[in-house]
Amino acid sequence: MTKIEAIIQPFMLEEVREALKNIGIEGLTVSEVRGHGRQKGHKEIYRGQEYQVDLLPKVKLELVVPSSRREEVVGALIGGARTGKIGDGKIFLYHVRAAIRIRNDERGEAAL
Amino acid sequence: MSAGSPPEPEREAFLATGDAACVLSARTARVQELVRAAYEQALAPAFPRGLAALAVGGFGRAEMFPHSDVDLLLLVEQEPRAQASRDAAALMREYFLHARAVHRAAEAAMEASESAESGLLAQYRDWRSRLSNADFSGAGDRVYFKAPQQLGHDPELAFRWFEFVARHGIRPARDSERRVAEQAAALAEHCASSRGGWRMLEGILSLPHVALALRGMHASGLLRALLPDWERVECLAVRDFSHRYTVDEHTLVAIQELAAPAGAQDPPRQRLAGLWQEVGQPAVVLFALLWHDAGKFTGLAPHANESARLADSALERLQAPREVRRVVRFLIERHLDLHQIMLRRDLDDPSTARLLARRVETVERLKELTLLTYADISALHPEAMTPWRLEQLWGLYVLTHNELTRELDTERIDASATASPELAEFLEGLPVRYLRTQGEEEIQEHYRLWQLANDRGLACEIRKRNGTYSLVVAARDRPFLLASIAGVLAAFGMNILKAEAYGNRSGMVVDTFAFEDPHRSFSLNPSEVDRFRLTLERVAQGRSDLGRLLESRPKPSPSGGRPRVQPTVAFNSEASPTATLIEVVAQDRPGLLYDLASTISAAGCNIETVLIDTEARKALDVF
Repeated sequence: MTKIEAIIQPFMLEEVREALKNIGIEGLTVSEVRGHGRQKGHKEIYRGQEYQVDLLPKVKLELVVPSSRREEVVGALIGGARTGKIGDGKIFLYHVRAAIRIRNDERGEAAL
Repeated sequence: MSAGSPPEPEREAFLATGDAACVLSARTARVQELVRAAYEQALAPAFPRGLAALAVGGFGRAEMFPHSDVDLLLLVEQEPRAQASRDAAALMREYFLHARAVHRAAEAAMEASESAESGLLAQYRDWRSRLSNADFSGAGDRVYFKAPQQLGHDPELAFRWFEFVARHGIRPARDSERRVAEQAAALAEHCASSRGGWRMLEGILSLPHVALALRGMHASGLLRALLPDWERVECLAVRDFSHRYTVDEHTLVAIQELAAPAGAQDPPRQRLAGLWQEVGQPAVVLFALLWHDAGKFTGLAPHANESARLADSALERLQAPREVRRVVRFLIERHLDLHQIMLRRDLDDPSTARLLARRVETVERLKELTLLTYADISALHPEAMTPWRLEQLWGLYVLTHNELTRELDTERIDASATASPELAEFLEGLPVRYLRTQGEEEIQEHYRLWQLANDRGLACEIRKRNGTYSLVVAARDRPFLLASIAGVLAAFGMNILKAEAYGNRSGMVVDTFAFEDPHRSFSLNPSEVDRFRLTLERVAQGRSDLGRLLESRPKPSPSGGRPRVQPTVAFNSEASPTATLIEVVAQDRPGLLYDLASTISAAGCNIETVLIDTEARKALDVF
């Protein structure tokens, strides 16, 4: 099993969810996060005063999928989240040793 | 009818034996009775067969504690029809009506126990109650009617009572609320037949503790008496996982979020609290908030248009001015826009700010809509307005604000298609913003002044509105004109709150000012208005020496110390191909606009467009 963590632009969330739904992936965790990579922050001017916005708002998605579906899911994430501009985000993959459904103690991929 | 206290025999048994089990099962039996009645009323007609309601959780185990949820599982034999969710909503409404009765009974009991308090807290509360007047008296931090029987003869007394609550922030006494509730039918009749309801409601909505007063008006039924359609949202549950409250509770929490006098602690909320202080018509925003979700009673989406229709119908009945109706309709119809844009559009893409700027049209509408969005999201549930969302909302506000102020001068009216050639001549070349900021009546008024000014060189109009004055000047543009008008206002001791200036293609300008008369010169001595008008004409036409006039003006009292607002001046040469945008933020003081405008004119610059605003003691000026 693979855990996929994706940091994406907030306004692409619906498109990504739709792309995942289209390939049958419906379970995921969504968090509101802030940060920056190469995009860094930007300057904002309000009423003549300049403010530095260092951490930019992003959305983090976390999902665990069978390793056999990893590339398919990554493809859907890229397809849904890409605008081609700086700030589109990143995807990270992790190996998952085990998954357990708390309700009935199911184990492995059956618990996903 | 409520399940709030155990029935008498069980209560006695509990007190005698200390055995809680019998009280819990008795409570369960009473709740079951209520659920059965609600089921018969709301669901049985829609589902004569094929529906079962199961009690689960503590309810199912017949162990209902005072704070237990009433957990019900509804099983349907077949796929429910679209109507089914509305039937379920009706059942939930019955539930919440009972829950509210329990809540109020508990509050009444707590209030009774509070009266027995002693010590420092009680002394403090009694000290606050010194705010009593001829009609109302305070005791234990609650305010009561002195002569509740008067309500029968003087229905306005109930409104004055809530105005007192909204002004002083003292909680209305439950007993007095009950007295108002007893008069609900007579009050509804009075409201239906009386005129000027808007003015009275506007008064309450403009006061600092409006949220407390509205909650009391809601609890006592006065809100429904004044606004009959309010009944549609009372205890209305909507099937939306993001909403934790019924529609009426969500609305009251939203108003509390926006108008709560308690100071916001964290900087993002402080910024929004500052924005709230800048809003010119808080009552209008709160009225829009009061109705923003009213259309949900239909069970159909989207609800905003139906909400706007209900609000407009209420305002018509209250005889609110046309401008108020226009703004409320706009705010309600657009109340979801900012939330949707901040989640679904790229805020870094300039087209996002342009899109929103085109929709909101003015900085004032942008502020109102931002605050309404803040309140609406905050009232979904206590954790809904996360710092992340707050930052997104503020970011969208700033981007759109910059877009609106940037386009002050760039877009001009092409009036070639206007039916009247004279009106076309007046409108041609004015900033597009002029049409966005001025209502139809104002434009007609400006047009009339422009016609007069064409003959005389200058025409002006002064009106008093809601405690402040408005001044409109139409004149042929010339250097130092704005400085001259601002100088005359300063010479008469007036405090400028807002100002805007627009120039058209033929070299005529329309300058509008909103100002305060802190020395009450105009109201105490009406002939001063004529002297002001005459002085203005003479100074603007160069027939009077403004310098000498300013020497004799009332001097502001020295404030001492350093100014609380650090002045900033920002120049933007890229905002327009023909003009430079100057944005000044400074501590407000009498004569500031005169000083700024005369300095700019003295440097040989022509002031094309002006946007002046004040936020508490801070002046925000854009030239």
